[in-house]
Amino acid sequence: MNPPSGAPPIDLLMEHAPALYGFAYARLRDHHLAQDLVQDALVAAWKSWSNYQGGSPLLTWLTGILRHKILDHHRASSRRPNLSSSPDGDTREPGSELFNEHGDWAIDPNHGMQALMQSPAKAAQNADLRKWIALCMDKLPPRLHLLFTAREVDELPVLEAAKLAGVTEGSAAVMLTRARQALRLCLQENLIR
Amino acid sequence: MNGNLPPPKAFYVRAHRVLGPCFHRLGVSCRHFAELTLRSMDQRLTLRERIRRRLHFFSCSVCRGFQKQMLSLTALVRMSVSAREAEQPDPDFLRAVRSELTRVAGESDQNGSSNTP
Repeated sequence: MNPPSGAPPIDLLMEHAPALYGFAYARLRDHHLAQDLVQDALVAAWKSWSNYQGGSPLLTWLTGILRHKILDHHRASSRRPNLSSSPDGDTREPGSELFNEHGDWAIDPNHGMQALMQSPAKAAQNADLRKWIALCMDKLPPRLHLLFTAREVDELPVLEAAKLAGVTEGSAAVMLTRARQALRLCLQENLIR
Repeated sequence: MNGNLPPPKAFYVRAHRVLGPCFHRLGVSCRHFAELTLRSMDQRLTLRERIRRRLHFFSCSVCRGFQKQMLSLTALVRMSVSAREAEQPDPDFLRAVRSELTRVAGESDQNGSSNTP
């Protein structure tokens, strides 16, 4: 790609708008918020076009700007005092009801879970599992969903994922563990039904 | 919440009736294994924690299954999110963004301050 000069053609930015929207929607699960942040990101990209070096794909650069918009949004909203201080409203020790007093399993964690225990590749192709994981992911509260996808899908370090979701690194670590326990349990409950 | 999940199999209960309290005292119970495994997905464990996890891993088939599940879960989550990324935006939204960009571009032209580097 040639090094950019002058203003970017609007068509060039608009080519990437659907992909940016998909990225935002899959993480925020809110059409209006995704739309607002994508528009903000594209306007910011137009204005700061001179910073684009042309070395990386344009979509990568735009996605970085979009991430900043998501971060700004959550930084602003976490300052609002009416939001609960406990980010997912669950104060129980994660998974405490799954074990007895000696730390042995009180339930059979593998019952009905054969489809998950062959290989990750096979599990990912299983239509049943894909249906249930979508349903279980939808049960995660918005902030936890954003944090979890930033970590698990985008593979951001915990600190970066925490910033994006507007929580502290310490609570992010607890929330991530809780999300994984909750998803596993949700899958198991649906699979043995 | 998990009232409909069955208890562990008999072989597990038999083995852990004896082993469980020892594992628990040594910090290598199934519960410790699950906690360490989940934590290892986000941060590097200390050497001591890695050894505790290993010790349990080799002695408990039920927990080996749990670990396999957690790896598959990551693959499933990625698949699920990438499926959702294919969601197409509303054409009205795309038109609105285009006209907003055109407006911003027009404004910058009028000010005579084009954003050349």
